[in-house]
Amino acid sequence: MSIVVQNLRRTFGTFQALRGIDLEIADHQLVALLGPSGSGKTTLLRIIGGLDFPDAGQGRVLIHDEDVTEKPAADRKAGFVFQHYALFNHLSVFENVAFGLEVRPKKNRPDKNAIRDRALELLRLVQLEGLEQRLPSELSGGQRQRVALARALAIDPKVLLLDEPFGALDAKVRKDLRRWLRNFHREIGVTTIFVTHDQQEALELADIVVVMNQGQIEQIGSPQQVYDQPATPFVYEFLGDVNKVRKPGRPDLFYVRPHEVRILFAGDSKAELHAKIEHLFAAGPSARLTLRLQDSRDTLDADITRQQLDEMGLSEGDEVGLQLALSS
Amino acid sequence: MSATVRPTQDPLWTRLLLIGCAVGFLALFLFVPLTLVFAEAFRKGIKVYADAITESNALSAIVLTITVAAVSVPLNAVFGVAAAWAIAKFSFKGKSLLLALIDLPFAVSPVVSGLVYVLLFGAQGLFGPWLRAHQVQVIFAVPGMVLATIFVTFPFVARELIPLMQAQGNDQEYAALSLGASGWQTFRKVTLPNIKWALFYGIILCNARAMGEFGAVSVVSGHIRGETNTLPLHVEVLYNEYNSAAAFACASVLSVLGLLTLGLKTFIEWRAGLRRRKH
Amino acid sequence: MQTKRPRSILPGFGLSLGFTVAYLGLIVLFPLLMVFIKASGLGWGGFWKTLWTTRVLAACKLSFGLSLAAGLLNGVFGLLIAWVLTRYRFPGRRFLDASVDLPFAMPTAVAGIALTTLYAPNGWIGSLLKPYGIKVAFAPLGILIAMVFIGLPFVVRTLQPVLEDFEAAQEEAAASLGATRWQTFWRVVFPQLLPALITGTTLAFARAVGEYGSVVFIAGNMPGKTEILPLLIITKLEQYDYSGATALAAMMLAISFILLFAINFLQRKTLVHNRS
Repeated sequence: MSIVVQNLRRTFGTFQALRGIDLEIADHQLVALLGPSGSGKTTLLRIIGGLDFPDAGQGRVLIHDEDVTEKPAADRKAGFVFQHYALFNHLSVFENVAFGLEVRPKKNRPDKNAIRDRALELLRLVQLEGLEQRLPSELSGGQRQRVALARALAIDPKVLLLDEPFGALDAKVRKDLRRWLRNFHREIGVTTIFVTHDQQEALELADIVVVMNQGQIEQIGSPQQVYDQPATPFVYEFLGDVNKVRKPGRPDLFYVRPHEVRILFAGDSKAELHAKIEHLFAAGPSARLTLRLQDSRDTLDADITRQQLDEMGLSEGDEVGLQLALSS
Repeated sequence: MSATVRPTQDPLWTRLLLIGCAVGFLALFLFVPLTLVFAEAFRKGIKVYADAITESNALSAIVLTITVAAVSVPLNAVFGVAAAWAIAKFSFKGKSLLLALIDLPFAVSPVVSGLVYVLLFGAQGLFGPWLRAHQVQVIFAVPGMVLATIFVTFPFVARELIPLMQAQGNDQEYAALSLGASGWQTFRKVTLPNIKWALFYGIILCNARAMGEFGAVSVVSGHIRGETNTLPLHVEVLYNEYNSAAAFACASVLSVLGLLTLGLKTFIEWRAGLRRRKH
Repeated sequence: MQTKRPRSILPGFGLSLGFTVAYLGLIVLFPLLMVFIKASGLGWGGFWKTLWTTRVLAACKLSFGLSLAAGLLNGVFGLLIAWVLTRYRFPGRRFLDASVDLPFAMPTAVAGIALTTLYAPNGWIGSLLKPYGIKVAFAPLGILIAMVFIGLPFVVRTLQPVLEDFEAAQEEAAASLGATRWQTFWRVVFPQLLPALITGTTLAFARAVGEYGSVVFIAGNMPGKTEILPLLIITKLEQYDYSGATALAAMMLAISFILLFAINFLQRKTLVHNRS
């Protein structure tokens, strides 16, 4: 196992940031810590990286089967990429990347040429060759992000920890960099954990998604698993759009995703529920309907294909029947 | 808290050592001299102390000190508000030059600040002959002392107000004007309440310096006891006459003023969340 | 800067700017200009003849040398105090923080007589040092102490905001890259504090050169030995040597303006740096 976290607790004053976290991450995986703000995901990442510590005696952290719970960050070899990059403003791109090698004690420090070669190699790897003499202030957001990555990789980290790696970037750069990171991880193979609050990012990028809420892990699984078989209502609601529906005469709440709602003609005998189309929006290959349930104040959303919409000739105000591929 | 030290934290021994050094340094340079002022002031007993600060020359020095401050502080406060209004609310050519010039008096030695007025209004100065012909005395008299005090306390209010008003922007004033307020109403009901703590802060600092100024006032004062001696000058006279107890008694009055200023300043910083600035 | 003033609906531009410029001109600029006009009346030859005397040179050496030493001492201790005040939490921190401004709040004459009495041969500290043959009051060492006293707040107050705004993540990044605490300070924090540190030290230096009240009592004022520049100006004035005083004042003003310019330049640099 690359990273093992056992029964980890962390309290800030009276706020319980982490309430007993257990996590095992196999080698070479790309893991997303996904959750809303305040869920404890960043705290967990910082504790793994040695930037913060669990409450005394409350939990252990192992990296490559070595207990590092009490080890300071400097001795962990965990490459950390900060949300706002934390580049050293006074050092050039090259000096930033070489920093981790230059601060090694004399006996472990590579000679000047080796440091130079390694730094330039990393800058090539992150596609920043030619920019080595620039200052961080002279780079774009995406470029800074990649400098931060190269800098973290310079110490040959056992694990790579990324805190909201795309949080400070605009939408277009985000998308490009996401794809780039996916391939990059495949290339270097270092076990990587990244923190995000964006479900799309987690699902697209990660091998394993760890969904966190209020200091606890709600579910661990592949993107497919957490999306298709959510373990808890929280996961259901947090990942993707979801309707909460109460069937007539039954007290419990059902969760159904918009694409799982089947639209039938009003008279169809298979219809479980009846509703009226309140709003209709069609663009591209799919259409979204906002439906008001009969005998209820609830509304729910349904996604259907453009083809079905045209075939059934639906328009706003029509009565329809619904069949739900319900999961509870 | 775990026993492990976080990366932004220094180890305990470092912390203790550095805190010890800082406290020791401040004690030696600030607290010991301050304590000494009061110890020396009361060394010969409360009666000598009371006599020293109620003696007629001391009293007239106190009155003169207050008079000088009472003229120069309001003038500089009005200037500060006007300068801040012009600089923060409008954009114009030469603004950064104006800003630098306002700070100029802080860069000038107090002695030179006094000297410039001697060169203007002294017997040999530019206006000397004219003043003598009209029997007006500026140098070695109260007007000169007021001028010198205005000079050395010139930037205090302006430099508190300018950055604050620049940060606040013009939106609130625009809103008031669009609601039909006159310019004066806008200033009084919108701008002034927004800057009142910074204004107060600047006035406090300005006043402390005005009452405590020594070098500049010393140059233009005639050192005439009971007439052109402010309290700091009176302290000097007593000290040079080896009347240490009386000198420190008067010095202690000035120290109380200084401590009061410090207390008020800290209170305003806490109250208004003002950021401290260097002087 | 705009080349043309955009029309503003706010009133009072002409009045406030007019008053500001007139007041500034009358109180500050015109009087300062007088010094240079009077000094230029001496001509270059006369100007140098007035300044190039052993007494003036000794005063220059004393004032600038000790001010530089005081500035550097304040640089070291100011950094230490600013670090302690921003980084550590301990009882009495707020009190200590507020007291740093004491040299600003205390009248200089009070500080002057207090330091003199303290370090005089029979004073609290002076009597402790006397057996070792260390003379503080009425000696250059005393002047240095007064200059350190008056300059301390400049360094602390310049450094504090920079230290407070310093991105903790940069220190964490250094630690996670394997740097020791000392390496982190020396390679990451200190270089980024340097512009502010130089600014603060320069401010303290400039203040020490011009300072009169807190220095004059402890100096002893022996011509050629413990006579500082501001005192020399006063001495010349008292001897009705106006041209001598003016020449000295012009020189000091020129130096203060150069320092002011340097400080402005440094501060702008610091700002640009911090924006990144």
